[in-house]
Amino acid sequence: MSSQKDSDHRLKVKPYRLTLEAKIQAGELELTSVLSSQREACKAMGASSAYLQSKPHESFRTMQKENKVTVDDLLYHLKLLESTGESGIEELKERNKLSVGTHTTLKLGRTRDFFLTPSVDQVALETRASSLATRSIKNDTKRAALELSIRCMDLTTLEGADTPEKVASLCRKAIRPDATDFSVPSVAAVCVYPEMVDYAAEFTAGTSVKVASVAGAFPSGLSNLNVRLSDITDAVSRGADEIDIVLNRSAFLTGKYIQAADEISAAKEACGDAHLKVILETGEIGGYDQIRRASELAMVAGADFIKTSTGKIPKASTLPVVLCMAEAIRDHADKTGQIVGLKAAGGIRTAKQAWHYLVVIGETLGQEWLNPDLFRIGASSLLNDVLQQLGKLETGRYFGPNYVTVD
Amino acid sequence: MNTNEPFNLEYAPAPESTKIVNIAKSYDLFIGGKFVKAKSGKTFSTINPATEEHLSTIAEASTDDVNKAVKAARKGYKNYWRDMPGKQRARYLYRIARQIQERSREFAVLETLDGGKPIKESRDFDLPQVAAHFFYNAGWADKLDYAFPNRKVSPHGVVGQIIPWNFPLLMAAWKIAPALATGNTVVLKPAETTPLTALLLAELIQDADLPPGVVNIVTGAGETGEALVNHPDINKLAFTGSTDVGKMIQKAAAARRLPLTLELGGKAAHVVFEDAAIDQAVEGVVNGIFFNQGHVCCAGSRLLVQESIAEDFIARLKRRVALLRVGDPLDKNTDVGAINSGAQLTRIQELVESGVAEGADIFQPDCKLPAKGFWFTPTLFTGVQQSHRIAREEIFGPVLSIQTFRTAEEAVEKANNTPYGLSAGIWTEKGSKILWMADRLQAGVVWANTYNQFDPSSPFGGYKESGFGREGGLQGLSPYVRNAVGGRS
Amino acid sequence: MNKNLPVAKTYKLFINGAFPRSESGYTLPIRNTEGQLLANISKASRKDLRDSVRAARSAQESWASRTAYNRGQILYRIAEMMEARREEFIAVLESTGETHKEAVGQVEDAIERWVWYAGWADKIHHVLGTVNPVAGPYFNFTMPEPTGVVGVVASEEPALLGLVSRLAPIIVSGNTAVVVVDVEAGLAAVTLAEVLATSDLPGGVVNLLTGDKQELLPWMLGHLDINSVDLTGAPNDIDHEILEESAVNVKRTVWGDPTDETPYIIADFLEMKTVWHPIGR
Repeated sequence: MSSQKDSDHRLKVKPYRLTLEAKIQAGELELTSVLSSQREACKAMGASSAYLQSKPHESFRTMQKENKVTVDDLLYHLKLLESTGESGIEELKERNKLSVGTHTTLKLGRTRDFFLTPSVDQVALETRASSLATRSIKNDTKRAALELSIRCMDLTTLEGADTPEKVASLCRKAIRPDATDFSVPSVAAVCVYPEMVDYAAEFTAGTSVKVASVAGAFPSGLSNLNVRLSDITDAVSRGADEIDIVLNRSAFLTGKYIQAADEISAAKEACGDAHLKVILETGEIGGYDQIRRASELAMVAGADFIKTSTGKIPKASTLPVVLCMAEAIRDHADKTGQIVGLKAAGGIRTAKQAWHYLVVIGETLGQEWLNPDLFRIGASSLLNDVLQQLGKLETGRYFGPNYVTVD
Repeated sequence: MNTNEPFNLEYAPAPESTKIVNIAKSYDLFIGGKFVKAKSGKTFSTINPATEEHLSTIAEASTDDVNKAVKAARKGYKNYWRDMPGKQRARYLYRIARQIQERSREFAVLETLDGGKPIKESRDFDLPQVAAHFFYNAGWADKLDYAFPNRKVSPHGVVGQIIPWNFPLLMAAWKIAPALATGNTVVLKPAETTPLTALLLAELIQDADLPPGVVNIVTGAGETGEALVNHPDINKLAFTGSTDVGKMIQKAAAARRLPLTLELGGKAAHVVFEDAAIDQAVEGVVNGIFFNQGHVCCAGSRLLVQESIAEDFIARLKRRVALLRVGDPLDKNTDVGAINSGAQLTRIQELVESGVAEGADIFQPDCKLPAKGFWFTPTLFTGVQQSHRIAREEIFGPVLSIQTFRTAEEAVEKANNTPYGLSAGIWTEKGSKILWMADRLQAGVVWANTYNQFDPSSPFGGYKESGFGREGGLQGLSPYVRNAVGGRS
Repeated sequence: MNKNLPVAKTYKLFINGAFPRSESGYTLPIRNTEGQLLANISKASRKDLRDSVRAARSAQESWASRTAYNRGQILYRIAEMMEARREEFIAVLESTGETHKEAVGQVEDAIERWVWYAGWADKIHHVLGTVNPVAGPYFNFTMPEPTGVVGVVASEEPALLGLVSRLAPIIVSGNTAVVVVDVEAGLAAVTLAEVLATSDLPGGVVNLLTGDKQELLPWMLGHLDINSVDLTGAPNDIDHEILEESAVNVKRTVWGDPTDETPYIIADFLEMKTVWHPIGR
């Protein structure tokens, strides 16, 4: 899904990054050699990291001659040295030898993103989001919008009490949301725990409905990386088309951005052909600056989708959070040409809310994002409200909840 | 079905119904608590600038009519308002505030019909602010002793007030509410292109049983205003409008030492630093210049963007401007409405042409404008030099002039290099830089990491040729009381 | 009887901290009540006014950016220097017709004005500034700032107190001043200038022109780089057309009382600046 859109006007990849990436990919430049040579160069110059940061261009010029590296790389390594010390470098070298996916290598070209992401002003962001929420819509567009929100929906059940029968009825609802009206489209996917993937795959076989599975010690993400990776591999082998993992917030919140990114890269590799959605759990990473940073980190590390929430904490998706993430996706596409999707999850219960999300995505990312390949709404109770609204459009009467099926 | 079929995010027209307003065929002057015919018998037409359709016929007040209004205001002052306890004055203002809230949708639709501003703004900005101004000032009416410590103050008497067409009802509220709270009576002249909401306010004031003569509304154009300004029996003048007219009024008031407040034009600099919250800064800049079609005296009409991010910032700005929805002001999805009048449209066109002729680069998004009515496409100018007319003159339309700067010092120098000094904007995430800039920018209102925010408790008004005196807040009361000691006129 | 002929003082203008003669070379005689020549006072021309405004403008920013504490100390220093020269001031006032008692009273009051306004330097913000409870997630405050360059038409009556009572509240907040006084008050004014010159007051903060008000007033009111004028001492019969000149650059015009003592005079020469900032995280 992270296809290169060469013709896209947004594509403005900085040439030096391309050069660097090309060199690395062609094997002309080893990650380890870049790392060590820069470190040596820093030391040789005897400059403190503070000095190098305050005069990056001057010191860079010298280093560029010797090492053919970019200022971004320099900043990245200085930050790394600061945050993790020697052990960080050693760890990364070690990891590189053990063959981390290409994403880590690519990351080298744009590491600045992790540390120097743009600030986000809370009040102005929220004002913009609420002004978009005043966009109103009339009947003609309403039906199309309601159908779109169904087509973009991930119908979700993530309970310890989930059973094959529960998943079966979820799948039936997903395939044919309105038992009486075949023109109502299927939802995009059902989202279940790995143990339920077999059933979901079976019940949706032959339909357009995809199977998504949370994996990797959902919802905390705090188990051994190998355990998490094997959880992913397992879900994929059971038939999951899409894997939803969580960002390692513990690492993120302690400033171990490289670790958090590497884990995502590893997960991406483990996914194989399955699409990877990375849940940022925006309600607990602390403000829009952090949401912006986490979004960039996840995208650089290889996420196909970034997703707001697990649905397991009270603070779930909000309109400004999605606006903030959409801006990050847009800028990432501008910089790299990579197109990343967005999934809003949790707390979206009404058709009107869903409409607001469509407006935010449409006005921030453009209409090309308004399809299930690039936008998803994770919800459980939204579908019935949308169906009731469709019913109202059809009949002209306000609907009651008993006129649509509970699942 | 093809799940990749793109969704077309075309907002269908969502027009606000005009059924809620009942526009009379004609309106008389509001004098002494009654609607009375103009002695002159002269009238003028007020139109909907979005369609050029005639809305109503309005009486034009002559000198005789203005005399009558001032006489009524004097009577209202002596017989009722001057000696009324503050607590009672407060009651009346609270009552007006409530009735405005109750009828706010009606007022909003009428404001949009008569002035061309988007219903989104008249409904969500103008009307809530109008009510808030009456509420805020109502509370001062019986607390004036605490507003001016060690200073026994008294009202001026009869106040002449002249207001512009950009926020017709809100400007009436800014003028009337503090004047009444401090015990003055009022003769108000609304702008000739937008008289309707002030006249509806007159009806509301009747419903509120305000004593006769406390508020008088005389409609008309320049001559009516002149008659009011030169009337020998007014004790104070307050004017909001262009700097040119303001200077004429100051001249007229100077010889008589008439207390005066002026809220005039501006050419605000909106300064964006490289460390700004970039997407919110884009929003702020867009709101700063396209709010109310740029018909805002404090509009951020000069963007000063730090050179290191200029290219990226301008690209973002263009992308955002292309999303603005220009069109039917009554449509709830409209962002930019109609230009207020043909005359204003001509002025905007003339200045934009000068910008092109002087060598600035113009950017206008693809934008289908309605065939009838007065419209102007949102416009950005890059490559603007400090000497260009579009960098110096107030355009009062949806036109942004973009310049760059290298250092904070240069930003301040460019920002202050204008005879105006009403407002300024700063975008940076560095707190100390905000305060450093705020300290140096010669402007009465400085918005940092926001723009075009207003509140009844927040004083508003300019430095230099943008006028003097403040409106709003504690500082907004003092122009309406007589100086027991000292005193700027 | 003095052995030597007394050395008479030359009364000059006070511009940018220096005492130049008028560019025009004109002087006006000032005589005591018996008609004896007391001094030939420089008669300022419009070019002297222009130079003074230039000096006042270039001094304004740095004067305003000093700490309020520092400006207060300098005003207090002026009081100290006046105190040291009180006998001279008394003599000057007596020479132009004040009784001894009146002269003493006026000098006392003038000194008191400097002390009183010195204290306001770091307090006026408390009284006039506000934090405003706006209905939204914003921190909003209003603070007073000096208007800039103020043209002062001083009152001759009382000669010393009338000047000090206007000057002190104008400069205490960070304004700079260009003062025009008629020759009748010139002796007191120039003597005050000599005090100002030795009181740590930066050059250009106060510029004092003795001369003919009627002649200088149109140039002052029409000057585009003067922000505000204090017309307290302006003649009553001043031409309407001259007053209208104040509108050329929307000058703030103030008509006050020559001897009042109130912080509201400071307020007359201030601008209110309101700053908004969102509250977020």
